[in-house]
Amino acid sequence: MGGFSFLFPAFLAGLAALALPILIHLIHRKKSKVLPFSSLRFLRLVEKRIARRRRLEEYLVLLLRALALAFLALGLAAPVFRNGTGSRMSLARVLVLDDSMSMSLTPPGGSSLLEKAKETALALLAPLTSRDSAALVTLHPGKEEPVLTRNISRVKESVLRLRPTLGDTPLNEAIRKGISLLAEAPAAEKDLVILTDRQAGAVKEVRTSKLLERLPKGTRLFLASPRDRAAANLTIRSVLVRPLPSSGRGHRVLVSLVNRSGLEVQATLTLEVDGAARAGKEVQVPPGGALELSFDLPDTGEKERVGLARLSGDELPGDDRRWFLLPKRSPLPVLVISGAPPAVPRLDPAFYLVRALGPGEESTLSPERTTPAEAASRDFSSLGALVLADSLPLPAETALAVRKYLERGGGVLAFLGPGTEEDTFDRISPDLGIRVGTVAGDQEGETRTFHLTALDLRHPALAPLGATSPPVRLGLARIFRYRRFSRLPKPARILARFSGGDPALVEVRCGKGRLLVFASTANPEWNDLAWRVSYVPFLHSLVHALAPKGPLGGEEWFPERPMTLTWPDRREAPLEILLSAGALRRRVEGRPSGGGMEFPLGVLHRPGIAELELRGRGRSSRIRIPVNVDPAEGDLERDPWKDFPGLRIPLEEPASAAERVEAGLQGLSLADPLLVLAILFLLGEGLLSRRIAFGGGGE
Amino acid sequence: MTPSHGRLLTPQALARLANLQLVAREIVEGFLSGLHRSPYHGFSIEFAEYRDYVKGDDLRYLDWKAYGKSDRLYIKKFHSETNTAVRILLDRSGSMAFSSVEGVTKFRYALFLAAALAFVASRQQDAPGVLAFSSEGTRGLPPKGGQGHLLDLFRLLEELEPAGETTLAPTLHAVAESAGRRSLVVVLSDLLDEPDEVLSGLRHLRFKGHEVLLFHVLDPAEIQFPYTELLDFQDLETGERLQVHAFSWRRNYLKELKEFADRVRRVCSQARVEYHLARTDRPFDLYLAGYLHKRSTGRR
Repeated sequence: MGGFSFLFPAFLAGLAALALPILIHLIHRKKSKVLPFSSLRFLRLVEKRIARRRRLEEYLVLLLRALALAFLALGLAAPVFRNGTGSRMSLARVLVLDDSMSMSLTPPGGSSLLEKAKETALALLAPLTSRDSAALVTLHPGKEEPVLTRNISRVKESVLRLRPTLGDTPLNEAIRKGISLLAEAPAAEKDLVILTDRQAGAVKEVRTSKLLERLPKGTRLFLASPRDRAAANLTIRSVLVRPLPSSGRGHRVLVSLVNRSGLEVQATLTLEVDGAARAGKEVQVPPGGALELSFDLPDTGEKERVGLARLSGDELPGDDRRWFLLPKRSPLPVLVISGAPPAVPRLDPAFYLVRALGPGEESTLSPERTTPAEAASRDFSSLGALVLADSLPLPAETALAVRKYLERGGGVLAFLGPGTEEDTFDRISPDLGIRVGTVAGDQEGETRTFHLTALDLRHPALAPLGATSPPVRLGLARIFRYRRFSRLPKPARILARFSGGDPALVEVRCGKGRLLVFASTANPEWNDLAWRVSYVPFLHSLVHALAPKGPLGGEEWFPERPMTLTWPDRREAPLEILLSAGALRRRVEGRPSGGGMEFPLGVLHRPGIAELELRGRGRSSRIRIPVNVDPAEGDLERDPWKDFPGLRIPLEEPASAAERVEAGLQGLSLADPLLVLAILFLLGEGLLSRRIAFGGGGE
Repeated sequence: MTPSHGRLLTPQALARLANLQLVAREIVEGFLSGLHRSPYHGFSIEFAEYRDYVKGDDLRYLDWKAYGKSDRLYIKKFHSETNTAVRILLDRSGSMAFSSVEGVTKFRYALFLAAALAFVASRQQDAPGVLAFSSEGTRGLPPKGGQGHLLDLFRLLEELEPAGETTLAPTLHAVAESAGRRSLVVVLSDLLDEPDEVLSGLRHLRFKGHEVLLFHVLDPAEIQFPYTELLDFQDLETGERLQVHAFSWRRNYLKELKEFADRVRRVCSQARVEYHLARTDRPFDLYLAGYLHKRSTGRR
């Protein structure tokens, strides 16, 4: 067991370079030019005087060169001296094995990166004895929590059982687990071996390196990763579904492809709806390039349908399919409360409002008008939003209904006008803390114009306006009059101001709901907003922002990522959820969480469409959610992980990798002293050569 | 005295002239034309004494003026009869074939200098002779006056090629032993022989009463050693090779050369041998002046 071994034996080939100085010496000798000279008499005298010393110096230079090269080769080969007792102390070895989707990258005619990582892991486990312990930490362990065990065979079986997943790369989480296992291990020697493809985006270089600083003292750290190689991979980055503008019945599907690999990729993109191919296109994407493809499906709006975008295979097939839903067209109901319409439509606060909220069949909103008195009898629970067109004082019943709607998480949009009273909002709820003040702007005989400024485009209510191309320019609208606020609650958020500085759009929270107040009219009585092209998107943006979000806020799930649904209000939560995905059927009961309920749905392993049946008291509803591979996993760029503090070993050579890891055990590394000696010899050689070259040695 | 040069006769320019006689004339005339009121003029035909005419004497030397005054026939004797024999010892060993100056080997430079010396000696009524030596053998002509002899001497010089190892020391001893009359011995060599023996040879010559003028012929590359790279130096005499980091050896080479040259100078000074370092990139005038100076001091 004792003796020398080398961590990088390939560098020993560098010993062949020993022949170099001798060769150079010989070649140099041969190359010297013959010069006929009158007599060698004086040269012979010089030779007699210095030749012996000079020849010795030349041989010394040759020796120094040879030694420098030899020590350099040996130093790079990293020799390790191990004592001859053969009895090393107990060892704890934790293998963090990346089983994310990108590890299933399979070069033509070869085995996948995961298979190579498994081979390396088995080779690292092979030398361990019954005194040692080991653990396998994967990124997607499922129910099986990693443990450090002396039953090495069990760990080997875990390695053998590993199958490629379609999950992402929570590498830091796995490393953290590995560190905590080692921290508790009683072993004298500790190893942490990370087997990963160093996929860019997965390795958070700085954070991971900081994490590794927490390793127990003396722990040896290894990174087994593949050599860089150009591979071909095309990823479906996203699929966006929009209503088809022409008919309003169908859908427009926008597929975004990206090639984040090192080779150009040619592929065929096929679009399927409910299992039937509907469209296809040949694509060619250069390395680093992206491509947007648009498909119009005119007849898909009648009911919800399942779509699948599919690419022909490349080296990484896991990200070549993407499921999506083509939703049934179902506009969001919006109730507009306004006084009785006057004879002149221009003076009707709700006339323009209702038309802007529901401009046609394609509209995503479905407005309905009612009076303050009638509103009390309406069920607000199914509303997307409530709009107070003129914010007249509401009857007590209506005001109570609005308050309840707000407290349960509803959204109310209010416009102020000449009929708005100072305590309009106090009547709904004194907790709102809003009091409306005087009218600003045009006075008798004097015309004044204001504009909307200081728009908070980061707020969800206004963000869509800045994201369109070209952006919606609200600032062009002219405001002639508006109402000042005489009081606003402290938590109120001002989303826009008039050019005079007064708040124009204010958000106030009430219970779980929100109230948005625009301080001018919704009709052209006080401004020309209703005549502007920005009016419709402005209103739609505000109403959609107010629409209550259920627990299913995410539109997409990812394989291997644990999912938990939460209802903040226990009364609105279902009793149980039945999860179906492919052949999987899982019944999940809720558990109390704060005042609400949460449903741990666990993880899904395969992409596709997950169906949730929300079973409540006497009623149930179904929701479908696409489950897709994280497109970031298709990025084949490797993070260099420059500041990785441990030893790097190649994933492609399991035996060699294991040997290097083993070689350092309980051994004395001689690499550094050898390299220092090599440098010293090189310096000595340089000085001596200079001395010879400049004749300093002849005296 | 430093003569001013009417013409710039560089060794490189002279090397392009094929005829050695022409070269010698160019050198000497170029040199002499630069002299003004030379103190060396006419020293070779000075009156010495009278003697009685005997039958058979050359009537050209009869002093008719003395006959007119005294009615007696006298023959004029001149110093010309005792003109100095100039023995030019020319090293033609292989090492003299070295050159770093375009077209001018050490041997060729020494050859020009020998020719010029012979020419100027002849003009001064001296008797120039030459002895070229190396391990390949010696070739030469004994000192003798006359134009015909000078032409023979040029012809001989033109036939010489550098080869073999140097035999300077034995040649010096041999000349010292064989030369009966005291003469001016001009040595043209790179002195690449055993230094002790060379110096012993020079002393031997001096011991025998000869005036010795030593021209140490060196190429500028031998003096400066301007090489910087790793070179295989090959000995031109023996063919031996030595690999040398020229740049790093330079300092020591120059040190050895200087030590040798200093020693030669010292011994020459002690033995009253006139030493001249003759660089092959320098004009000949300097060395001709050296000769004339020696020649004049040798007569006084």
